[in-house]
Amino acid sequence: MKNKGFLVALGLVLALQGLSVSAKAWEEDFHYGLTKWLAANAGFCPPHAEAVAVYAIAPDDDPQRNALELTKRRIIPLGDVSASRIVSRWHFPSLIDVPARPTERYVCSGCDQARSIFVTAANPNQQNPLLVFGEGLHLFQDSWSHEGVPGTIGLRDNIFWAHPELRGGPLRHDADLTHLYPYSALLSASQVYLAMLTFLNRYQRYACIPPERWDDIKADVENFIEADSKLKKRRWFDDTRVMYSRKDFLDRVNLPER
Amino acid sequence: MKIVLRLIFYGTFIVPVFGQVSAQELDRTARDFFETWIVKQDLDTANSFFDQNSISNQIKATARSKVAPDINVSQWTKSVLRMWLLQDHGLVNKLGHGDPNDPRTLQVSFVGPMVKFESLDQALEKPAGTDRPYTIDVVKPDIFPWVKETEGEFWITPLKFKHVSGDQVIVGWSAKNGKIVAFTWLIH
Repeated sequence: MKNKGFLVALGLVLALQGLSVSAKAWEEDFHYGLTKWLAANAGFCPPHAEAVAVYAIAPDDDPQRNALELTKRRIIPLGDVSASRIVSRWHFPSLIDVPARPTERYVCSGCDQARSIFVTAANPNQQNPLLVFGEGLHLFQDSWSHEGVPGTIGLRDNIFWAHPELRGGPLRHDADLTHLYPYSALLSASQVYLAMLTFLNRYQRYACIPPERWDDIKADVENFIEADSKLKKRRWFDDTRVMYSRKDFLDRVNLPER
Repeated sequence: MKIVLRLIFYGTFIVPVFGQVSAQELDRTARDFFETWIVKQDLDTANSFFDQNSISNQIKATARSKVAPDINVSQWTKSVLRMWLLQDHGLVNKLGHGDPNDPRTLQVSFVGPMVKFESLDQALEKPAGTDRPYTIDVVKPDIFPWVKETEGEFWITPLKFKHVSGDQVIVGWSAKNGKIVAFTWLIH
């Protein structure tokens, strides 16, 4: 039963890969809230669904990996190339290493670089696969919200990572807002869901219930994506009946109140 | 010209000072600016801290549209300062988030309501390892390509407002005249 559900969901998600998208990084509503909801629907036991979501937001919470902190403290004042590599590794997957011109450092959605962390969760000797998987999802998710040529603000252009010009540019939050890039958000969510199903197929000890079919949850995901205010996002999460340990995570989302 | 030379510890940096404005003077100027902008919310006076020519050059140097080069610099700096004083930052983003390439940006000057702060400590997150709401960091003079006076030192003061997630404001100062020669922000 579980395997059948997995295969159906897998097939539907693979069909979505044909969608054409351009994309950028999500905010806490996606990295934490939607990730937990997807994990619950994929069949993770409740504590593990919460853990995956907390791990998925961890690269933003951790000052050693937070893109703003690294850019402010090391990249801009010091021209620190290693800090730029950390930002790329956790938020801006690209085929080309820094330093390089932004036009050469295209951020690729769903590519091997974007999968480079979470796929190691399947390694036979992995000590904490749930942690590696969850943290790796952050880069994977960001690969859609940051997809494209990194924007520039005239400072340290060859090692600077920012929202792409085609998604509103580096000076605004547009790239992170689901309703402005619905195809990217939907594709990102579907690929994350597929990754979760694959993970649970490998580590069945983290699963408690059979997964929902993607087709059965897709409309809910689309409603989440379309919500263009904090009020609408709150209503969506209130309707999910999933418990979230972070009660205030929507306060930090850069959407209008109403 | 009076030459001032000394070493002062600011944040994580030892700051050598050559020029007309010492690090201590710059620190006082920066605090005065931040108090005027954030606590008093007197944007006309805060606007006088900017070197308008440098800011104009910054906008032109980073312009990505035909809108930016023609924008009124003084109006732009005032509307940008107001961005982090508004309660609804999502609304700010909807109006272009200060991007000089977006014609809606100046509309930020006409929306509200504002957040009131009694002190800088109340408004700003303290950087790790400090007990101040901001640090003053020395940077290489070539960091701001649009600034023509490349001799001497430049400082940056990064700021992060507590009520706005995902924004890091960067204020760049010239040590030659103590004016703001760069004003930008990082988003994530």
